Amino acid sequence: MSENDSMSSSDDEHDGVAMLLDSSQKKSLTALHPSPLHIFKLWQTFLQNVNPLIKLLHVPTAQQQILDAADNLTGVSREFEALMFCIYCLVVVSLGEKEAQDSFGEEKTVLLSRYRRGAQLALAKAGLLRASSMVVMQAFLLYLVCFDQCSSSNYWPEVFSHIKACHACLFRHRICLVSVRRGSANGPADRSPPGRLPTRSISVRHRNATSSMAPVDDLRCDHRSKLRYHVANLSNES
Amino acid sequence: MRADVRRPSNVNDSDLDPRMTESPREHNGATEMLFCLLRNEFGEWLERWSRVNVYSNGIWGFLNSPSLSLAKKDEAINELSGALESKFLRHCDSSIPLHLMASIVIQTIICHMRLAAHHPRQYSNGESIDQKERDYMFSICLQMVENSVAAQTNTVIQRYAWHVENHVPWAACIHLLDELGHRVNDQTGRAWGLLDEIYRYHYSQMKNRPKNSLYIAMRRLLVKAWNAHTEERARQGKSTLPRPWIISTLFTETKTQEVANEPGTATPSHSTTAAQETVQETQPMPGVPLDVSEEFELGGDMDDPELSPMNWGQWDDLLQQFTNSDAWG
Repeated sequence: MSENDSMSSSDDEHDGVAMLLDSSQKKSLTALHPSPLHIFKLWQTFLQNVNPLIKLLHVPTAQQQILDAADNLTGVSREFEALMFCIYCLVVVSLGEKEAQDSFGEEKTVLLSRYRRGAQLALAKAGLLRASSMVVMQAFLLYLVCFDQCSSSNYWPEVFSHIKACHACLFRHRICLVSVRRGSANGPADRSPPGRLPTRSISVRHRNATSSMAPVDDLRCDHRSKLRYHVANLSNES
Repeated sequence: MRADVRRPSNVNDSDLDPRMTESPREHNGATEMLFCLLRNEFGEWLERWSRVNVYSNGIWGFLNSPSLSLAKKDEAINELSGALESKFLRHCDSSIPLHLMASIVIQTIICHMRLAAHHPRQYSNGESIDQKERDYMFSICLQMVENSVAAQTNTVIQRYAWHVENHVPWAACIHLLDELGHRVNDQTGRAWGLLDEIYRYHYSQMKNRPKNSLYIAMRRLLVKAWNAHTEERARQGKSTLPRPWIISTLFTETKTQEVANEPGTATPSHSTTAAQETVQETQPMPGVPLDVSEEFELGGDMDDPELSPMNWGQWDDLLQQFTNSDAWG
């Protein structure tokens, strides 16, 4: 996949998925980040709008890392950078058009397009396929929730098949995403699970993960991180 | 596949520290994990009941299953309702945004389940549903619509609106409109008000997708229901309701379209003048029902799904199509 600066490719779902899986990605993403001030604002909004509904992060730990990162973007780890972009995406999704314009000085669609591209590239750089890091998986889950809010896609099964095929033994969690797909019908006529594609859980196996958030993360693994989300998966796995 | 991890702990971030060597003690009551835990509770309940009563029609499957009695389904829902009440709802302080959101979501979940279990499609022709059951279903659907409006418009939980933004309880709306065609009582005014709010909120999306089959069908159902309801009110000697904004808007839209479609006329005809006057309307006309003879065409190529008696199969297909399509494309 060529290093292509075009923003329009982020609208193409298929390209987006291919981008996520391209582990040869080496492009610097510093230019796609918001300013330090906006990073703080985005983080604050994340705490208010998103975090209470999706308790994926240990806030005290993450907050310190966000502050450190904002101070020195070039020094941030690939994994954490992926998480940052996914946080930006989800925050922008949670904002109204006017709110986005007032708080960040740009149109919501423009912001989202930029951060989504950043998220895709960052996840690829961080090695989503290898996914040896809890942080990357957290980032990816946020991306999924965000993505679900934005559009529908028929390409997600492909992503998960890839992940399952490539992991040998990585995470020992049932990760199920209760997604909130747009335009979902409700009620008994809805033949698919909570308003979306047929779902099933993926479980990925793990040896003890270490990450930049190590001990707390392990604790979170055991106690907190089985947020039960059903992941859309149309693969043939039985 | 089974869950091989424990459910999330009921702990706050402040209960966790990187230096901990033992598990934190769980709280009994509301923590930061409230919303996640209630979702988890629901998921586990679904999984448990779906395993026992395998029915392939989607994840609500067991609630649609003909082999499970209505009493048994209600028993299952009571179990969920009880758990959500004792573990979460009773700890909710509605002045706290997250708690308010959790309360609304819990109520919505239970209503969804009741609607699934009690759905009129299970009765062959509709006539065999007794009044008490009809009343019950009406109040369930009303509650769902009310929750939906609250989730979108309550400023306290505005911050969470993104999470439920496009969850329109279409099935509940359809059922309400079906009932409103012949139901006139102290709840029906409120029902019209809530439906108006829902349609109003989603109007711009509906307008941007004029060929969307579900939207077309919902608009038709709305107009038919309004006309029928107005007639019934007149028949019972009851005063007419103010015309909902959405009805006026649809009417105006259609008249504008008719004018636009008319071959060019040099002098305005009477109908054109009337249409032009109508175009000026932006406020709902008080107390004036749509002239029944003004049955207007709402466009679209699709066949009108049979609305009386309700053709639930056709509605199911429309909803399914809507779910599967990219509604934003």
